[in-house]
Amino acid sequence: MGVRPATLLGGALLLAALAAGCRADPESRAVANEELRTVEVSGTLSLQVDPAAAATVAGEVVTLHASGPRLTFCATNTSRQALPLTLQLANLPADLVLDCVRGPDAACTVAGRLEGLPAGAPTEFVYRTDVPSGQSCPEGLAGPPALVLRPAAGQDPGPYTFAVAGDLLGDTDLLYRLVEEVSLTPSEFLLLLGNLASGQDPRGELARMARILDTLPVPYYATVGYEDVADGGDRVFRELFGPTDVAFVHKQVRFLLLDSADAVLVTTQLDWLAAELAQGQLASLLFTSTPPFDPAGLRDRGFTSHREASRLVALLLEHGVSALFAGRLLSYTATDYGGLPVHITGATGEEAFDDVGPHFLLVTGDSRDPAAGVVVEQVSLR
Amino acid sequence: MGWPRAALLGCGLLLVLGPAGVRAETLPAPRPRPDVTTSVPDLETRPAVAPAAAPDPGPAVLPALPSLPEPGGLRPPPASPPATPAGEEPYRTIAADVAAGSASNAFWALTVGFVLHGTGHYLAGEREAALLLLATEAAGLLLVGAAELTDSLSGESRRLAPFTRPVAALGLAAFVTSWELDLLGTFTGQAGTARYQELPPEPLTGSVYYALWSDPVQNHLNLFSLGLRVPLGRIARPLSRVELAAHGSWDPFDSSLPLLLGGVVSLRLVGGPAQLASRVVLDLEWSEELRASQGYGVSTPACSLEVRYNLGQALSRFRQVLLLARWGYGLEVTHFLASSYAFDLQGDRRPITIGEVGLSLPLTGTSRLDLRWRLLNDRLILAGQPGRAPYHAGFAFQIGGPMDLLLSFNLGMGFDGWLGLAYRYY
Repeated sequence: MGVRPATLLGGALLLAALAAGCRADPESRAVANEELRTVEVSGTLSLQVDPAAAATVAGEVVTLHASGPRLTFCATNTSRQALPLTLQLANLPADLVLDCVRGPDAACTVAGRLEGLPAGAPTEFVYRTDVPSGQSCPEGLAGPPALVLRPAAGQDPGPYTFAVAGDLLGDTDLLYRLVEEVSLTPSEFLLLLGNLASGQDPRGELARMARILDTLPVPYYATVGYEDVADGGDRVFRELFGPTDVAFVHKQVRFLLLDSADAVLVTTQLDWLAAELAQGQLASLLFTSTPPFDPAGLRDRGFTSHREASRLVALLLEHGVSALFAGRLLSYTATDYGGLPVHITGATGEEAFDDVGPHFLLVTGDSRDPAAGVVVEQVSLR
Repeated sequence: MGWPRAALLGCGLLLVLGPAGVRAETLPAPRPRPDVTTSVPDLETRPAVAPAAAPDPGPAVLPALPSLPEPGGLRPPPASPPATPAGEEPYRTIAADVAAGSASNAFWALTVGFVLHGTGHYLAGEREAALLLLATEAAGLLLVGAAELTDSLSGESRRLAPFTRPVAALGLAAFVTSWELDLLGTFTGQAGTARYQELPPEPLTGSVYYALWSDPVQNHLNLFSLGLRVPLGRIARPLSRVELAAHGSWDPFDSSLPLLLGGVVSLRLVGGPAQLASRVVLDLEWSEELRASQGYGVSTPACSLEVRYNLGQALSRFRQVLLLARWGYGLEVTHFLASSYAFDLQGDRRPITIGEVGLSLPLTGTSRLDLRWRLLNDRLILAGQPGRAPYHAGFAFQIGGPMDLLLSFNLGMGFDGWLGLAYRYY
């Protein structure tokens, strides 16, 4: 039989099709996250924000949905006159204060004024200022004229409490119950581990879930999940919740929300994670959608590549991360990876043959005693 | 732990029972083809049933066609024909009674045939083959559907997953393979020449590979691998042959050595007559990897059972096409932080599943093409052998004497391409 080029071509095409169909594109999401760091208000006025945040612009009014309890920003005005700027701020803690970022000469000037909104919207604020002509941010967000919005009690080490929920899967009834129960706890914020949508209609589901979450009296921060990114859902997620990779510091604890929606990581993410962990905090906590390893090994719903999973866990162990929280699995399992405490939680608790049921996690810790780690309590939503 | 014992026991039972189903040394007589009249305009004239080139010496025998990734996959003809029982010829001819290849039929197999497997064969007048492919597709879809439904209703229960996962993998393999067979069978028509040659005993084989590795996470660029496969001899059925293989790989160009140091030792027990392409292989493997610069190392003992089936025993159109399927389990032990690395099973342990399905197709002369799909579990890739990524295409060419040139492309966790030589010593 002679070699038939068509046979070879067919085989190659088949392989390429299979390979292409099984890989998503977390790299493009990492790039899109970076774009959220800059807000173009007008041709002459722009804003740098950290952590990156979902923003919409209407004239001189910028609406920012914060991705962390602490928000740093700096405006650049290249026009010949001062320009008014109004920031409508959402998803920030109720005890928010305006502060400035000091430069090498300890100069610190707080400009503009911060106002809370009427009762009923404790996480929303308005900040108004005039950006002087020629103002720029020569040191980025590391020096003046950068300003910082932070919770009054969030600067120093101390006890902290927050709630964690994974995989609500578009269940609005469950989310209402979650909002109600979290409101009754001393949680300072709620962390969501992705899969807010069920994958049927990610755009509509994400919008519905965001509307319910906006009724929470505390901020909420989310990373993206496998079901959220289908059908352009990742773009909608960014518009509603902000970047898919987030890092912020609260009470000297570094909170890292890592996008593992596709069960793979890219080099950009690992570099970002290593840089964040290298900054040195009293403690670090990682939150992600897909657990690196499935504790029920033969089910294997963790990372696609065990090599990537091992590399991630080795990195976390090297930097002494206190705990890892993951979703994706519809139950609650407390386990460890080489000594790293791991909590895997799916709020719906749908997994059969266990007695977990709908739930969320209430996490407490004290950054004055980082060696003690965190205490995790499972709260039923039945 | 109890499960590795159970897995070993299960593999052993399958090993004992498995060959019973594939021990047939005779090919079924060519089935009478239905008298098909078709209006397809480009259907080529079917070749007449070829008479045997030699007097019928008795049962026809198929060669043991090895899979590509094994060094020494292609064997040269022996210097002198191997000894054969009195009255038997070393060469056999099998009647070719199948339709020739057709690009038009292949097009329909590629398009409509993706939904209705067997379309290409149906248009070629191979209704028996078409029905078999369609039935295989239906069975595959049924298995996948049943597994997915069970997973969905049980919230991916950890207690059911060990059962639903093999079922889903089997169903997917059936679906992919039946479509691929429809496509390739319609393209190629008669699959290969009709002459088969009996083979000499398995030789001692040494191999050397160079791999160009592009992995977005691991950043490997170069990898070298040395392999050795030693036949330890034959024992009574059902174990006809025992082999010991060792592979080691390393990256000599990285200044942060040892970035990767890996190796695998495997014991291969081959069941079934060595001359028959259909056979059962039990692989017992132990692989070790050390990735010091990334802070971990892994030990992976594993047991898997491979079944090779010469499709020519079912359909003469595929008489040189081998269907390869593997299933097994392993224990993955990760030692985090390289300073505490040890060659033991103390560490972060979890069971893993090994699953694979593939086709080995004849090309020209002695060359073959391997197409394989594995479960997305890449642990064993690092043992430094080609053909262990989720998607693998490999080519083997005999370049003279006992030397083979092997080329392998792997996709899944990035891309790696392997180029190597295998040399056999008889």
